[in-house]
Amino acid sequence: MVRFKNRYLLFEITWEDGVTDDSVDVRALSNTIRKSIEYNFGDYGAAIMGSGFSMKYYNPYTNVGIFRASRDHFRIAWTACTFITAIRGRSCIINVVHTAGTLKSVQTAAIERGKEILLDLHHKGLIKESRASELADKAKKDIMELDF
Amino acid sequence: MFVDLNIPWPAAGADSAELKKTIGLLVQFGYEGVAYNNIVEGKVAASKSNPIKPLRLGNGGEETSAQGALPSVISQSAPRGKLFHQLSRVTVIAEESNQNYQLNGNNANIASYDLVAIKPLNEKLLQQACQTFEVDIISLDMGTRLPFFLKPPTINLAIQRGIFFEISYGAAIRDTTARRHLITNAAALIRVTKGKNVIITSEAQRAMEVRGPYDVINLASVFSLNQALARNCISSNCRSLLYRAATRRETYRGVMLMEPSSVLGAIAAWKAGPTTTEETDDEKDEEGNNAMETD
Repeated sequence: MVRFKNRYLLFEITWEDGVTDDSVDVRALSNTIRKSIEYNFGDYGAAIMGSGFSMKYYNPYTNVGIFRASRDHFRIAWTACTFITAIRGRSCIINVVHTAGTLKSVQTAAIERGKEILLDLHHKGLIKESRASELADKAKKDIMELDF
Repeated sequence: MFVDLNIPWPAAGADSAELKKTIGLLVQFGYEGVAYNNIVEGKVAASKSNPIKPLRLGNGGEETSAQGALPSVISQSAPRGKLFHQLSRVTVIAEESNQNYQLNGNNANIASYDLVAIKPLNEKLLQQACQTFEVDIISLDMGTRLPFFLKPPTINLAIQRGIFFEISYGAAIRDTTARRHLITNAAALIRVTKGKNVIITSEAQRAMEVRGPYDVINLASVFSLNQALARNCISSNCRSLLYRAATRRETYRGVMLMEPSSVLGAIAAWKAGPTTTEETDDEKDEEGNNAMETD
């Protein structure tokens, strides 16, 4: 049986302005990355990614996100992310942190990374501990609810 | 161990805030070292001094996030509790083949930099750089069409001599026409060298132009460099380059290095032999050389 293999990529966004708000969501990210694929890789790139590419999750508080692409061509999507300089007008850097073949593996990595970031924000004094754990629990719930 | 060996040093008088932001991002992304690049056109006068000074990184480069964020120059978290190395580098933009660029050990100014790079603008200079100049890095301008072809005999000669070639991805992030040229030039370079003696650096003029090391490794797949070789280009090749540069700077013809015996700690002091009461020139021996003792 020929299985359709995927790659799940966990990424983090670093914003230039350092602002945390709701301005960027899963749809905006999806559109930006698709546009970048089309711009850098042309009709071929856009077509071969096709329906294989989809944005799964994005948390605006921790700036952590997951997207899925077909295993044969995930590097196209990854390179397109590297070339992105701004999303919705805000200058940013997309940094891929983890790649995995299964959703479960990337879920674990995403939860851990989210926790690390929230803990770090708390240590810097930017958020209270209760808020940090509240956000971490919410993130965990959202991530575990993801499905194919 | 990832390093970025090309962060342009801001021109005299310019604000260093952008540079600090850049370093902050590099630390955050997991780089362990950087080389500040002073770009000069033409001959470097022996009288001018090296303007590059390491930034005071405060606690950012050494604390782990578990210890909490203490006030530091870098405000991003530095999850790795490792030392961040800062080196200095000079890039000489060479245009005229007749000019004597004095790229040898005699020029004290050049010797004060950790790394020496040359950016040849024509074929004749590329040949001279590969054959005779004493440089560590040959940097080709990736953002524009190269006015010459990269010929295997010349490039292989440089590789034999131990010179490294640099691919800078900053131009590709900045400007979209430069992206095409970068891919063309980089692919041509990789075709000739097969990734040997190649390093990949950022040449980021703004903080937002650096990219994480794994992103850079992935980017290299676009220049037909496989993942393992690409990883070498930002880690072990850079390390080899630094060792070679140190050898060029500190040894005589790569053979002999002189150090005063005070360099030996208390434990290793036996290597210098029993100390004589008379101070002779022989006192300044190479480490471990006991042949000069007088009993």
